[in-house]
Amino acid sequence: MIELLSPAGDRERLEFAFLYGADAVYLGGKNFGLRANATNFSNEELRESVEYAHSLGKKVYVTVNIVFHNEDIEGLVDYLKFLEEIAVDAIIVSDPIVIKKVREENIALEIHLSTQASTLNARTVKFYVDQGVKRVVLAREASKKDIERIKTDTGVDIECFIQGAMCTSFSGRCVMSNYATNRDSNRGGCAQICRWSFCDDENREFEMMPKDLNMATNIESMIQVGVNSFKIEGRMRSIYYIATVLHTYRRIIDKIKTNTLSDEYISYAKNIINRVANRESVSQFYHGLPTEKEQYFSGRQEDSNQDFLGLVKDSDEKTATVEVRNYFKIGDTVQIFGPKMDTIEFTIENITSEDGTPLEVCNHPKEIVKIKIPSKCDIGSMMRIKMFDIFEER
Amino acid sequence: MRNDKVLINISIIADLERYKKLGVSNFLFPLKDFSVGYESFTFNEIESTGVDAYVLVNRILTDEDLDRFVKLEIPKNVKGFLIEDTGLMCELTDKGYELINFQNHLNNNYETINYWLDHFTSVVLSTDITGQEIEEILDYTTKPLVLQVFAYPMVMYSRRTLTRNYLRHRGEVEKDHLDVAVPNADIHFKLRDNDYGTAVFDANLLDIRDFARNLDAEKIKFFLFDTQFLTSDLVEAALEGKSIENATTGFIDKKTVYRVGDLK
Repeated sequence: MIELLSPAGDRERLEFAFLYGADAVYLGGKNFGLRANATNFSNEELRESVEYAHSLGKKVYVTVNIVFHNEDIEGLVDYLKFLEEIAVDAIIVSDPIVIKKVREENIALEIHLSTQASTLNARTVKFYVDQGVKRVVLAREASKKDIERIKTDTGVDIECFIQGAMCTSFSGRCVMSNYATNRDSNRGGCAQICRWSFCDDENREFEMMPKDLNMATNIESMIQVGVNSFKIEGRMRSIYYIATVLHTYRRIIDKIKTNTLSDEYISYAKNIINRVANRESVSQFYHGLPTEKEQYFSGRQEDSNQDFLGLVKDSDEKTATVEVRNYFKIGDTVQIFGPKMDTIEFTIENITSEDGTPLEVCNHPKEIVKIKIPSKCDIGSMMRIKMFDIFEER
Repeated sequence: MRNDKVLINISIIADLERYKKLGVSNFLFPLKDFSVGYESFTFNEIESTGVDAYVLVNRILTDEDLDRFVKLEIPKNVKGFLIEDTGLMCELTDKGYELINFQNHLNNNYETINYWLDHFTSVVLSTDITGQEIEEILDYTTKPLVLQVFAYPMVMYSRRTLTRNYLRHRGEVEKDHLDVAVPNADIHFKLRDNDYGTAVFDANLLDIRDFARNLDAEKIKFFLFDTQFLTSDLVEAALEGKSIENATTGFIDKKTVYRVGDLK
């Protein structure tokens, strides 16, 4: 089984994740998850989202992955029973209290061990499998050699992160946020202190922030060593980020399945992903210990961009109805990519407002406009400014 | 607080005699190649001390690391292990050692601790919880626990060598320790590297001896003292019960929050 697993910070992101090729999503309820300040899902939204996912033949995993304090215990069993009742496909946990409660209360929930447990060896995996865990999300520090050994020795279902931000520390082994801001990192309040700028003992700028993870070049190798689920980080990322990253990795996985993946496509995919992430990304620990080259020093070196121009709400062969997201104008060369369509590229020749008034520029976010296009687009496809030549359809 | 209940993390072997004279009889030695953040010692060095020794293995280990560990000959004076890695727990179970769970920052409630007490002799409590939480945990757990009372708390463990990487980036001679601060804020950390990663310590000395004195000693297996970054004289003064200046009580009276709206 090969699974592409997407974050879903809210219902809109969940729908885009499935539209753009995710086989499953992970998300958090209002409590017990590590993104306390994200929108997250109410119980009713959780129920509806699980029903929606199952209607598409897709899966929903719910994070119950805080490190519990005494005061957090109350309500846990009721919540787990609720998740059982709405038939979530699995819960993602790190604190053994959740495993214990699932067992004690005979709750029929599949358990996935979170990356917060920082699992790097087969002995630990066997221990947790004996405790009822069905899948292990390995530590982001796991190398190819570590993954291969764990798979060989245990046969367990393995999930690995392939894309997104990295903790500087082993996940869960950092409370700098608690000490610097009183915000509890292991209960969803992480203030990302490791991304702050410090001064060293000679008053020079010091940083410890890693570049992002990007495993586009290693997916085939990861499949070969036994990874089952390919996980994207970022429950608080935009729909454009989610769509772009999923669109790219979905194609990589599908091309591997049909033996049509080329180095040229991987290179193209890396460019697309790096552009949408606004940060450089590398394969981090997969081939060995990261060096200073896999970290940022002297500033975050992020380039904010306004590549996402609009969301296609409707389309026929000649005209797309687009919800504006960023400034564009007649004469811009743009691309539209979508879940089922070939990416198209064209120069904008004609824009009108909803009532047919000709427009030269679009600069009002959420405004609905009509654009002349060369061929029909998917509903939910996205228009971006052209940054790279289209590769896949050449 | 009785010194015969103190477990002291050793940085300098020559200091053992000083601590013994003060009634300390339990000594913790970070194991070379299997620990991060501390002065570390080989099993031969630990054996040569002749004391009843506890061994600290606070790294998260790969199978390759564990394969190396199981080939080591453990000296007879090793009484127990304080460990982070669950795989190592599996290797050491039923070998006659006291096993103490030291998953820093993760042992924050009595249910989780009781879960681990089914597999361990004891558990080291997190430094991130309040005094009230500690008292509740001690009331509801099934075995005596270990409380960190005097230390620069380790606040982060990275597999990256952050100090070395920084100096290499600057083209400077590598060293393994660095003090850093947030500009214009009273936020300071101490970094310490070895080949296996970096430990980051809060630069405020944690001293909760006064709080610890009022706890039921029967519920405490050890009061853990750490000598890292401290002079032997200061550690001795602490063991003698003297007041130490410029120390903090950490989260004993200060609860953490996790929703932005709860910040005051």
